[in-house]
Amino acid sequence: MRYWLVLLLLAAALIAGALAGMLIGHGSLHDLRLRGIFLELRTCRLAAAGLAGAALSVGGVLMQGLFRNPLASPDVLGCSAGAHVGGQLVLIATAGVTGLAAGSAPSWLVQEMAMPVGCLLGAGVSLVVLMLVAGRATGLATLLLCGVILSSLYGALSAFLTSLGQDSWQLGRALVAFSLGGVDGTTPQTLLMAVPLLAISLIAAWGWGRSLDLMLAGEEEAASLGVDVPAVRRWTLVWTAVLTATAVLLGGGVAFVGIVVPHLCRPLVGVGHRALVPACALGGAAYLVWCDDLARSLPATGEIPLGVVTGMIGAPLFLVILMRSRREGLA
Amino acid sequence: MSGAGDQQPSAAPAAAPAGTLMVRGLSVKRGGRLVVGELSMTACAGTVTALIGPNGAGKSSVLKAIIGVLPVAAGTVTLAHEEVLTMERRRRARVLAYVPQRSQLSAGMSVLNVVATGRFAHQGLLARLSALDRQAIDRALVLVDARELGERRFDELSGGESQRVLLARALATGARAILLDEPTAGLDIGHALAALRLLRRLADQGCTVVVVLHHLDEVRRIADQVLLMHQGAVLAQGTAAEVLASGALTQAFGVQGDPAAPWSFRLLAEER
Repeated sequence: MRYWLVLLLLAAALIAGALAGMLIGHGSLHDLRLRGIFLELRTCRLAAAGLAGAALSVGGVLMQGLFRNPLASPDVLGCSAGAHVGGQLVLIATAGVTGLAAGSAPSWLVQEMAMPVGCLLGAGVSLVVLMLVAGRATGLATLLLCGVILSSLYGALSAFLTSLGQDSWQLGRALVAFSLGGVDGTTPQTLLMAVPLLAISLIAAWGWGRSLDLMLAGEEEAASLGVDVPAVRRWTLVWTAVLTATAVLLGGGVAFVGIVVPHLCRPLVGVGHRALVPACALGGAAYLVWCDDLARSLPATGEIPLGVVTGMIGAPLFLVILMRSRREGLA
Repeated sequence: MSGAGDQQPSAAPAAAPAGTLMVRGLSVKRGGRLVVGELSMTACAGTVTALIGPNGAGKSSVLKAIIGVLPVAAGTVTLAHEEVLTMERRRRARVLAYVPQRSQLSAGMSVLNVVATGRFAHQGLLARLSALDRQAIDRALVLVDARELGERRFDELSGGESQRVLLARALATGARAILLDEPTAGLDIGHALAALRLLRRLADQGCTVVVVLHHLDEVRRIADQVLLMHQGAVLAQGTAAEVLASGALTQAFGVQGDPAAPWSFRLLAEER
């Protein structure tokens, strides 16, 4: 009963955030000629924020379950950094092929469709490396370190690509905006690509939830109780990679969602993964939609990047949660 | 009593009574090093088999190899004539339960949920608890006298309480063979005796119990059969009285004294 009430409240928070988001923005909805366009743009960006928030939060749940570490986030695998570099490469490649300034895209290479593919490929490269490491039956610490190394490598590559793009003002701006994170300009095509990826990943995450519950006791105990530990490792990595890639293609670099939202949800619904996955999907969607609302309503010359808002809210919020849980002996 | 040299690969499995756990020529490697070599043992249903020996003798490795957590380099393990090592993992978890020395579980899971994880191998894709599952969980909690702990968080329990809960989880699996790794480690004498009495009761009800123990007085109280391990091999095997009275204890532990009065033990180095 309490669980369903929590889900209801999270759904209400998401709907409220989405309704508020429809009304916030530079353009006025009173102008009947532009109302349809504004509503379509805002619907797309709100959907993108919701989907990215759900993807990052559930990715966080999977990582924290696999590594039995509450500080693990979807970033630790290096897949989000890989997706990020993949996205940047697409930005550069399409700018080179089509001439970003000229805007003459050939029909076979539409940038908005190439971007998701680039993000997925980038995350896929990280995943392949991780799977090779996981296949050698090494410990989770090795896997974690591998993720850290990949993240560092991709970080350096990303910086290199950003510096390369500075020759063109428009490309440089696009690369920086992608790094800072944001859901503005999301198109229905991107959403169409992201929705099935997210839906399959969420169902899979829920499906592996019971095994992840047992993994909380360690891999040996889980195996003794009948869990196929190598399969849990493998598929958790795969679905986390898909979730992070989906989040990056929708919102670029958005920080802290994957850590903060699961921590907010656990006291409400418990540590069981099958309860956490739906709660975090709704909670993460609501959280990022409200963050996007805030990004658009704070006074600034233009719009504050979404990644900046999530970082500025997420870091202190996480600190408060951490202090409170330590005081209560929960962490 | 029999010595290590008597461990011949045995008798046809068909000769063993139902519920018998038979280990033949088990070798286990960890990090390229042989930690258990050519170990053979037979644990019958309705008996308690104690594995004793100094630290690093390979006792825990034997248990972990039997449950499939450690890779086996050579040998066979059968339970009721069925090969365990190649058994489908869920089926193995239903017939063979394992109680670790201490659980690594640190997340705030309730005792009831911890015991419910023992039913994992019985559940389908949706993993919903059936009436049968609930019955098994309840019965297990009653057996270990932990029903009142049901709603408490596992990570807030005392050592004795958490050990009882881990045993309840093993019982909830419904397995008739239970392997326990030092279940009395860290327990006070009252809780330790209660744990031993419970193991005895399980054996009397027909379970096959294999337990790693360190205290010789506990071994004397509970074990029907004792295997003294040293450097990955069985040094002596027999009843508790036979093994404890043998000189093998001196060789394995490097001590001299009366096993009936453990306080009389002295290091061999001191004697010299």
